[in-house]
Amino acid sequence: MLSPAFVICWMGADMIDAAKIRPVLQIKGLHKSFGALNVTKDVGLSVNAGEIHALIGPNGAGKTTLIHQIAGLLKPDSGQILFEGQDITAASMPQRARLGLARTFQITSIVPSLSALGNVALAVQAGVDKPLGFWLPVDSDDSLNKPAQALLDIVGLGARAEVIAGRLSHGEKRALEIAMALALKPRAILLDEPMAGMGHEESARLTDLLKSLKGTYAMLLVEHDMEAVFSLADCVSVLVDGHVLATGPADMVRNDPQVRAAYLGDEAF
Amino acid sequence: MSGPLILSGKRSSFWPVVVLCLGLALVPLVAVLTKQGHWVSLTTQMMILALAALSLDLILGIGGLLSFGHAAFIGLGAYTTGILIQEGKGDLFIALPMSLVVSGLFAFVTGIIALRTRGVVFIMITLAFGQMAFFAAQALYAYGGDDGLTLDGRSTLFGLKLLSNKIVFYYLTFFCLAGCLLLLQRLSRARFGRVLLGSRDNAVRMETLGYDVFRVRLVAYVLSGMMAGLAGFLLANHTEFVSPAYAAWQRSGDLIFMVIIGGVGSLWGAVGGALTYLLLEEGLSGLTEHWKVIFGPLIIAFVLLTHGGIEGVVTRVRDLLDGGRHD
Repeated sequence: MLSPAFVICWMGADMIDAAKIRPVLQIKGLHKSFGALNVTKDVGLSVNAGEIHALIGPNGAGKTTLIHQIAGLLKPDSGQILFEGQDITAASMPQRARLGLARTFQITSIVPSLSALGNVALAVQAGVDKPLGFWLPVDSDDSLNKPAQALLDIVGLGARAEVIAGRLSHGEKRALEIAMALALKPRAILLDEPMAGMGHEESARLTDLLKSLKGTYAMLLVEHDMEAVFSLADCVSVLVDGHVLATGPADMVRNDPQVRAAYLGDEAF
Repeated sequence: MSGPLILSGKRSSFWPVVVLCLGLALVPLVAVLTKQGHWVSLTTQMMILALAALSLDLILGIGGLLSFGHAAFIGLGAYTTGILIQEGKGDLFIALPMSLVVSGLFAFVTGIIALRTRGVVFIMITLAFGQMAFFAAQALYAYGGDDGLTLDGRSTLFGLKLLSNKIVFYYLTFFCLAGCLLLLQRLSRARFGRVLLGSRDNAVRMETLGYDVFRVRLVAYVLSGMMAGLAGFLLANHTEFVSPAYAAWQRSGDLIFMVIIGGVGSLWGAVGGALTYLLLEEGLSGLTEHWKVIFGPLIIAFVLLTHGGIEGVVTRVRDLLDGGRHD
C-alpha cells in the first residue's frame, strides 16, 4: 500500500524536481559544522502537505541542530531550505514565522510571566493588523483572546487559560507551546521532541492531539518516543552522526537492518 | 515560584497611581500652608529624577535591558536646553522639541549598536556611550566645560517668563511626570508592551512567533531616551544650570537604584522608588556629613528584605487585605 506521500518521502531532491512535486518543506544538501565537528552532513529531506515526517536518531545525532537551521536560529554553512518552493535559507527567524513556518522547542519555551491565554494571544497577535499598538489594553482584546481561547480548547488547556504559564505542569507547557505554534496559522510545524519529559498518559494524549492535527499541517517531528513516532509518522528519517541513514515509510525504516544496528538496537518493536 | 511575576495579570496599579498623583498634586498647597516653601522646589527636583527613573523602567523593567548610561539622555536634554537658552532661543516651543529630538536621535544611533548585544556587553556598551556624552559635555568649553554653565534664566513661553514662577514650574513638571506615567501604563498593557515583555522573558520565542525583537526594543529605547531627555529639559530649567555631572555614570547608577527600590517593572514603583531614594538622601544628609555610610547599607537592606521593592510590599499588603490569599 504505497500512497503518493510514501513514495515522495524517500525520493531524492532530483526526483522530486523531475516529478514536479512541491513539498511544503524541502531541505537540500544541508551542511553545518562547528569548528572541526560536522553536525549536519549533506542532509536532504522533504515534508509534504498534511503529513508527519518523523526524524529519529540517537542523542547527539544533530536533530535539534537541524531543526534550528530550518527555523533560522542557526545558519547552515551550505545547502538550501525551501518552504513552499521559496528559498528561505537566508531568511530571518521572524520572516520564516511570518511565512507560516512555526516551531516548538525541545526545552519548553513560553513567556512564563503571562497567563496561558496571554501566551497564545501573543502568538495570535503576531498575525493581526497593527500587532504593536500602543494604546488599547490587550487583556480585554477579544480579537486576540477569542481565537486564543479556542486554541487552548483544542490542545486541552481550555480550563487553564488564566493560570500563569510559568506555573503550568510540564505537560501543560508542552501543550501550550503547540497552541502557540497553531496560533500562527502555519503551513508547517517543526516539533522538537514534544513528548520529552512526559509521562505515558500525557504523551498518549499529545499523540492523539497530533493525530487530530495531521492532515491540516505539515509536521516535522523529532521524537524519541518510538511508540508515538510509529503511530504518527507517514515517513521516517533516521539521522546518525549528522547524516540521513535511511528515509522511508515507518514500517520499512523500522525493519531496516542498518537502522536497527545503528539506532534501534535490540529494542523490540 | 521564584522572583516576582511582573505585569502578569490582574493586579491593578490604579490606586497606587492615584495616591502618588494626588499626593504630588497637593505638595505645593501643603508647603505654602505650612510655610515650608522650599519643599516646592525640592519636590520639583525629585519629580524630574522620578521621570528619568520612570523612563529607565520602560527598558529595564519591562524590556529587561539594563542600560547603564541612562543619565546621558538627561545630560543631552539639559545641554540642548541650556545652550538654546544661552543663545537666546530658549522658548519652550523651541527648547523642548529640540531636547526631545537630540536625545531621541542619540538613543536611535546608540540603540542600533547597543541593542545588538546582550547581558554584560549591553551594560558596558551603554555605559561607554553614557561616558561619551559625559566627556563631550566636559569638552564644551564655550558652555562652561568642566564647571558647567549657569543659565541666564528659564525657558520662556512665547516670550513670557511664566516658568520662572515656581508653582507654575512645579505643575508643569507634575503634568509631565503624570502624563508619562499614564502613557507608559497604557503602553505596557497594550500590544506593544506585551511584545516588549515577551522579549524580556523569551526573545527567541518572540522571534519564532514572527516578531522583530530588535525593532521593538529600539522603539522602546528611543521612547525611553526621549523621556529622559524631557527630564533633562526640566532639570536645566529647574536648576538654571547645566553640568557634565548630569550625564555622569553615578547618576545612571542612581536611576537604576531608584527603579530597583520601586520594584523593577512596576512603573508607579519607579516613581515611588525615586521619591523614596531622594527623600532618604535628603533626610540623611541633613543628619550627618557621613550620611552615605548609612544610606548604602540601608538601600541594600531594603532591597534584600522587601523582595520586589515598594511594589512588592504593596502587593503583599493588598494580598493580606484581600483575605490572606497567597499565590
